Amino acid sequence: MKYLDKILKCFDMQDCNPTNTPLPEKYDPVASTGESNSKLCLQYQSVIGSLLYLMLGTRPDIAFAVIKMSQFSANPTEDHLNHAKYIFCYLRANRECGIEFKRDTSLRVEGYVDADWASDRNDRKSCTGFTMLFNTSPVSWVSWKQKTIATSASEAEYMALSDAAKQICWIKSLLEELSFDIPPIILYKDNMGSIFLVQNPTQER
Amino acid sequence: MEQPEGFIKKGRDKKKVYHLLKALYGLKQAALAWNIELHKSLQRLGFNRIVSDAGIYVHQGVTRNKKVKVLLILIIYIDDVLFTGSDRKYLGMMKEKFMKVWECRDLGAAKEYLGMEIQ
Repeated sequence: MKYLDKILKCFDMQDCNPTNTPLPEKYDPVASTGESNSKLCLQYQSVIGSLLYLMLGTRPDIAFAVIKMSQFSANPTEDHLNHAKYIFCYLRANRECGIEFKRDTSLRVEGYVDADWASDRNDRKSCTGFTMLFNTSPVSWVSWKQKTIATSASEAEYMALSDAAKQICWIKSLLEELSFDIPPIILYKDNMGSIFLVQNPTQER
Repeated sequence: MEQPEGFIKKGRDKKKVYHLLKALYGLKQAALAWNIELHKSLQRLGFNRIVSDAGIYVHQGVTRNKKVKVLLILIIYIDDVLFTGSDRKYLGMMKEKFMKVWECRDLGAAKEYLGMEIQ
């Protein structure tokens, strides 16, 4: 039995209404200010834990949603739990999705990286996201909240670039050790400010 | 290492302790002991652990007749081992050697690994 089916059954979500997105549009979760409820907390954490495991394995598409919701694990509300379960509805609609690796003689590795700026209303921290593709199939993906508060969009994107570049360094050393002959790895980024900073780090401190 | 409380017999040498030859199952040291043992056996079979990931081993060899270069990659997760490589025959031979060292089952082509379904 598929892991996804197992957790759908475990949380009694096998008959939920399928949705097209992991989270509803414009959903902006707010941290709870009330007392934490230990029963709710336990349930919430097991939902998040199951989703995290699935996300780390084969589902990069839910990475953002799961990481976003996991930030409320310490003190969740009913609303948080309902939105974490919303991810199950999305998964139910896409339960056949997986990662396809095609046989190919050539080898291309590339990375895509992006960041938002001060998206978290509670502490104004930004969010990094990147994915590394191995012949167009994702092999490594990340979505996490940045540790430092960025004071501009370019700064947030620059920090994301740094994280992605580190991951690329590791992938490169791994592939070299496995005696793959790889062409230079290209990292794609859509923020001109941070690209300029990379090429000419005049504001580097 | 010293004798645990209550085990010390009067008149006997306090410093005497048993030297364990095998790691005890369930101890916190057991996992490392197992990995070291597996590592040694793989080294003897000609596999090298790569630096980037301690769970991956590679073996470079040549086939007997055609002298074609073969690359084998081993993925280790605790006691789950996945064999892959560029030559089926050579791979089978190495797998046989491995199975002589460790008592294990050959599950054939991988259908599932770490909860991930492979089609």
